[in-house]
Amino acid sequence: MKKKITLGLLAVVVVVGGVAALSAFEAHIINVTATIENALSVSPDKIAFGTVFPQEKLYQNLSISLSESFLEEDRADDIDYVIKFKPKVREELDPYDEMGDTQVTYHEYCLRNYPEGPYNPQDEYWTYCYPSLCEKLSALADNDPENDEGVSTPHQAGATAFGHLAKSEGDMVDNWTIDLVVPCFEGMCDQTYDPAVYGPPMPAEMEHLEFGCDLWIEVTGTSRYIPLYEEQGDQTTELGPIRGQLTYDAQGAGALSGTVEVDEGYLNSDHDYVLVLNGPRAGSTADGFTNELLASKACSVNPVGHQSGWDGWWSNRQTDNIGTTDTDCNGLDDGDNSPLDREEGYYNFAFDVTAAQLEAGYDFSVALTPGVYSEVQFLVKDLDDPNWATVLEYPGVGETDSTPSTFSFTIE
Amino acid sequence: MSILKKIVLGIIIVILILVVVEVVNASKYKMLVNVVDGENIMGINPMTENLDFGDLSRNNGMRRFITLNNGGRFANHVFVWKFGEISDLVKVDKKVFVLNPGEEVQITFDINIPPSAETKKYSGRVWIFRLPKLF
Repeated sequence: MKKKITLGLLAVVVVVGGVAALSAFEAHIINVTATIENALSVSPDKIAFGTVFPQEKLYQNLSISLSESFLEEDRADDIDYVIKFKPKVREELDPYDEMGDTQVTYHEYCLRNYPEGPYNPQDEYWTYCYPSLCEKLSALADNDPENDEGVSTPHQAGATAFGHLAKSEGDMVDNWTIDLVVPCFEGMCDQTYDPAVYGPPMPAEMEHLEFGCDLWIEVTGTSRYIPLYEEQGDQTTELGPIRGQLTYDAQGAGALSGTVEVDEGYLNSDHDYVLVLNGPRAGSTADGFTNELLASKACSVNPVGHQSGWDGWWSNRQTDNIGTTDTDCNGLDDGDNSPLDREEGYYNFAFDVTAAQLEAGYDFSVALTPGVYSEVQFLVKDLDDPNWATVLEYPGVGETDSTPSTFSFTIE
Repeated sequence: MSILKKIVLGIIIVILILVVVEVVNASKYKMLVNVVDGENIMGINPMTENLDFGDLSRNNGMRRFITLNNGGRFANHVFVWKFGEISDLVKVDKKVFVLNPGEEVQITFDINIPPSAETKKYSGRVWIFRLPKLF
């Protein structure tokens, strides 16, 4: 009996160990990452204007808001979005079905093939897509508060309205007015017709046709924030009290932009500080991943000297925090000239930032290589300390936080 | 126990271990949508921890994306599996495909709230499996 129990336990250990070992091995071999994009698009319900007549103006409402789950999220503040006007697929077709054997969906077809020149009723395009109503539609902002930018009619194809929602500004809902101005048909316009208001007259052949336009709401940016903890020393995984916060744009064009704000009186008013982006210690070291992106950018900025301006270097610190560094960015360990394997991308930037600047809210923008940056650690170091002691941190992988590390962003 | 039985048992255990390994290594995300009353109401949440489709009134739709990047040296088969109450509302454009080394592929998730949907929160999950392409 005892032998059976021992064998059983041994089997369990072997199976669990095998699963763990195989999982680690497979994760190492496969190296495929999956990332949810913060960009999204919304297609609203049909806004039907029915039968309309020349020189009419009709209005409909469209409400865009922060969702219940976003309002409950304590590390996100605002959303930037755009409203785009796109050619519409005919109602009897599914916009996302592929056309025959092609890999092109009806939606893509209508978007890319809108006929130029005079209206030709024989054009195959009209079999799948409506004649465009887009240039006759406006999106008027509610101006409450004045942080949105609408589009009024008549306008050219491709016009875009911009919207902004922010918890911190009490702006949870944008109520847009979608209005339609109806042009007349060539040869049928009365003398009072004003093309500046209703747009140019349309070809007479288009009378009695059904027109359409898709309104697409696309999120283009999200501002998020993370708490900054008092550093408790390199050898501990515990976090100190929160002493400030970093607000950042989760999706930047060529740069990470944000604001660092530290509690008044926490920093030494006689010292200067440096801001640091640090890749995940357990992260991939392959090209295109966070560590490589940070390390390569740091070295491309200014490989030697760390005294002023934008600057950087990279290291391959091990998980025990006994690190080797490569201050001249030649890919070799400064100590023994052995090749580095980018265990940890490390980018110092924004030097000589004063305590007063950080307390007032220091705005920064650091140019970064396009890519997805995951589980980044953020540090504030004391430049006047001989060891550049870390005074504030947002933890990376391996340290304790009540929520998963969310300092992740995308640079386009 | 005969030798044959032992072999069969061994094979079953190996298969089970491989299945568990794939499940452990799969990327797993929660999908959710809050169906609300009213017309043309669109509450958005672009956070990236979950595939959150926000608050949508009936007849509205939303599209979200997951990007897969192969930084390894081997091509992989990718399988996308969605399940749960929300899965009938969500359409995925690529369910099975091959991801080559250095390749990046975007998977699109479209949700459309039908007129018959109840006013409540729908949730479910999507698991993305990656298997090395052997041949």
